[in-house]
Order: sequence, then C-alpha cells, then structure tokens
Amino acid sequence: MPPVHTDRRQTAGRIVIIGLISLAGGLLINWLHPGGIPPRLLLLALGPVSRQEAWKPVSADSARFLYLQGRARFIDIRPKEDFQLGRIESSVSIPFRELFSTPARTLYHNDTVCVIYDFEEHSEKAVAAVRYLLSKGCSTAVFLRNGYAGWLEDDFPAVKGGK
Amino acid sequence: MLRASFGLLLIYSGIPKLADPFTFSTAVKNYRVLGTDASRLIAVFFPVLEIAAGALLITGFWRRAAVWLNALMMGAFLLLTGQAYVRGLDISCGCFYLDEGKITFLKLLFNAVLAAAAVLLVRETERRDLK
Repeated sequence: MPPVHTDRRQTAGRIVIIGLISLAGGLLINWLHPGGIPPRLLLLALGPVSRQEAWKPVSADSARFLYLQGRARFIDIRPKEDFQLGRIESSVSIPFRELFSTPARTLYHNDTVCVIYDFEEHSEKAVAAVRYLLSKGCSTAVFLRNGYAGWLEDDFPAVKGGK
Repeated sequence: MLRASFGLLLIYSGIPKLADPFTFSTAVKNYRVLGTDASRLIAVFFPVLEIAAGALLITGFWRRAAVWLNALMMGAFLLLTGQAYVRGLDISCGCFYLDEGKITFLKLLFNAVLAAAAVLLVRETERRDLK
C-alpha cells in the first residue's frame, strides 16, 4: 500500500490536471459557442486598455443632447429582431456577436461619439463593446447607462423597422 | 449515493452557466470579489470544471480527486455567499442559473449543509481507501 503522502500528491496532481483540462475545454467550448464570450474580450484582460477608459457610461439625456447636435452615432448591439421592433432613431444595428467581425474602421469616426446600447442598464455586453472599440483605436466610445429600456422610460423617441 | 447526488448537482448547475457565460460572468462580478475581466475568465472555465467534477463523481473515475474538488467548490460557494450576505449585497445567488433568488440566510444555510456533506464525503472516501 503506497504511503499516504504519495496518495495526497497524486490526488493534488489529478486535481490540477482536471483544472487544466477544464480550462482548455472551457476556452474551446466558449470559442465554438455562438453565445460565448468573444476570445478577443478574454485577451483584453491582458491588454493595455485601462479600466478608467473602459467605464464610460452616458445618460440618456447626454446621449440625446449629443445626437441633437449631430455629434453622436448610436450602435444597437441587440439582436436584429429586437432592433426591428423598436430602436433609437438613426441607430445602426450591429448585433453583439457580429461586432467583432466587423471592420473597426466602419464602426466609428473619431469626430462623433459612438454610443453603444443594449436593452438593459449597465449591460455587460455594452461595456465589452466599448472596451473593444477603445482597443481598436476609437477614443470616443461610450455606452448608454440605462440602455434602451432607460431611453424608453425617459420618453425619448423610438422608431420601428430599419436595417 | 451521496457522491452520485453531488455529481448530478454539479452537472445540473454547470450546464446553464455554460450556455450563457455573459450572464454568469455578471453574477460572478456581482459578488465584488473579482473584477470584470477575471469574472469573464471564471465564466468560461468554472462551468466546465463543475461538469467535469460531476462526471467524475458519478463515474467514480479518479474518485478521491473528484470528492476533494467537490469539497473545495462547496467550500468556495459557502465563502462567497457568506461574504455577500455579511456585506449585505443585494444580488442573485447565481448558484443555479435558473435560480434568480437573492442570498438569504436560508440559502446560506443550504450552502453550509452542502459544504458539510461534501466534507463528510471526503472523510468517507478517505476512510474506505485506507481499508
């Protein structure tokens, strides 16, 4: 019968192996999963984008003010079906998963503020989209703090249809 | 029986989290122990670890490693929910994705019972292996 300390080392080693296989498996499954976290976002954890830059919420009031001045471009990251049902006027639909395969130069212009919005407030996806744009050289990406839901609650105008 | 029950519990817990990593990463971040980036990595890795541990518990392969891993995870759940409860965080437990309930004393007690059962399983497994 092997000594107890050998058994414990073996058990600890197996736990480490299980952990490593789970990490590799998790990354693979995430990459293949249509609703997974984009690998570029996972890599952002190691990137140069600072947290202060990443957290740029803007209120619906401010976003509307920028829009009326012609200085805002809205990007709707919700699914296309939701976009069709109702959206902020002049917004463009780029569903979240498609954002990372869309050429960055077509997403923003540095002379307008890129306002990203999802449905709910403080959307993790909206924050992730902002961080992605910042990493691609956009200096003016922000996210709508209370999302499309907050926009509607503030009785700001919404339109239906569009592409 | 206890080992198989934990196995099923872990698999049941892991699959919905695997299906929606963004929601799970938000749940992890809400505990205010890890930042956003670390929460995303955990959201990708942890559900697979749960399912793997669950499968090992059910099959009995690498049994000792599986019961120890289970005990570590149950202990970690207890610590996380305990610190959230003490800090008064009004957040969803996130233990089982479909469970949207807040962290209450009863939920904490449930996690404590699970942790105790996991420790019992470790002791029982060690005892049997020594025979």
